[in-house]
Amino acid sequence: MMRQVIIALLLGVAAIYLFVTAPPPLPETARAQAPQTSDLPVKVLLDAANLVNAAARKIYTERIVTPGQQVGLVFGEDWQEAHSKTGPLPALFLRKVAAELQAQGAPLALFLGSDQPISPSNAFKGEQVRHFAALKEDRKPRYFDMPALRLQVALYPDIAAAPGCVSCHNEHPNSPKTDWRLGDVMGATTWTHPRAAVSDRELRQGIAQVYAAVERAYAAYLEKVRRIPDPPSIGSAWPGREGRRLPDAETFMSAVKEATAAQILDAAVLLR
Amino acid sequence: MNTKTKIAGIGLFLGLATLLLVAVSPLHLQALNPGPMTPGHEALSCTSCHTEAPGTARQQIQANLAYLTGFRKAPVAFGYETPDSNDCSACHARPDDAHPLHRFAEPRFVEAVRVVRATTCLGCHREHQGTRVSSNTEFCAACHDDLVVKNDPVDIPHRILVAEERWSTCLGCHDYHGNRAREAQKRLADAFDVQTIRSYLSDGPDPYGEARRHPAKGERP
Repeated sequence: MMRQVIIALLLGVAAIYLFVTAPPPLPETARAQAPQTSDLPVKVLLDAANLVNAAARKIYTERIVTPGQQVGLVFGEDWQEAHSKTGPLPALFLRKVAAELQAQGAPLALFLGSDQPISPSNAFKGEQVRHFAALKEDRKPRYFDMPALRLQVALYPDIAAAPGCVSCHNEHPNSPKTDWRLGDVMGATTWTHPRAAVSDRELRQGIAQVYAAVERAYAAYLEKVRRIPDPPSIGSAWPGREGRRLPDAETFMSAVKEATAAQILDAAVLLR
Repeated sequence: MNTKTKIAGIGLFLGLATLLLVAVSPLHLQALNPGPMTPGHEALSCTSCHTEAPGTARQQIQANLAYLTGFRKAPVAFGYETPDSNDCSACHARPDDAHPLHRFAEPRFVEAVRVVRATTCLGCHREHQGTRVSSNTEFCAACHDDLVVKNDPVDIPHRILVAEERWSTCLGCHDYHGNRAREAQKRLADAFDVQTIRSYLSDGPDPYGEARRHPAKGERP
């Protein structure tokens, strides 16, 4: 009898300690909280993300790399090596954007692949091969899910838009294809997201993360440039006619936002 | 109260008192260490990797009891969080990792990551095992079985090594994360032999040399 009383007392004290006099309960983690209304198909976010990235890469290629080479700036594959005096080639700029997205812990992820890549590790495999073959035919994005990875996937055509893309890939010693021409579909940009639908907040947050990733990638290039001997001046001017100059991150991002704002408004805000 | 009950009560009291002392003592993490640290991590404090879980011990017990009784959707960590890749990155993140984790989240690697669990640091680097790497020396086959190197600089070309499935030779020249300040060997005869590599992956000497392109931070910043 005494034993039962002691146990009951101990349990009672424990219950008072844990539940009656305890501090407020811990909040549920974000994942376990009641989901926000996720009524936007993830395609909206993937399209917007691709729009921003494609514009940034186009600006980087056409306004930084191509004119920059004419005024003595050098771009190479080894740009992240400590000894290198180069900046990232456009494909590697995209890789840096992808890394910066990951560094933010974004659910969005970005990749670049091809059926004729310079590095075999960038070759499409599995289900992507079939979707890329179809994309090459009509140049339209492909959307599909990969249940094994629990990912929603979108492929967007990556078209040779600048002479530098073609010449670099045709002349590269490891390129499996050496007759690329302007306008060819050289590969596809792949975006992934773990969910089929997102909330309005997640959409805005995702787009903001892509802009931030672009800005950080460009800032990393500027950081590299500052360490080379005789660096170009960095300010509001672009390389080319204005000489050996580079725009600062703010100027570069203004150009990216100017190129994308109207379409982002249409696609991700007005949902047209 | 009979003698048996007295002994049980004293035993219960002493047990709870010991648990309480262990819990409040700064030595309790060492006492809970489940095994030897990865070589290079010996000098780290426990809290370098294990961040404190949110809330007080009472809140954590309360939350987990609520979870067990169905009044809460998710449990919470008790005491300290289980480390994940983000904790590793706090010291080891580098801009030029040759095999960054996020690349393996790509759909094309769906088959490969079934063989090499490279989407998380812990897939290959298990802490408290006393070894650097817990995978085998032939994991390169999962992704590089179609490797083609034009103008191959190695005396025995990579295509032959791949065709002959000599996967245990890869790490003889290449360090996986590409963080050593060195050039890969050009002659296969100069490659580190597989025993040397296996020893290094376990807890042996480092054949690649000590010089790092990006040294790890000594403690979580």
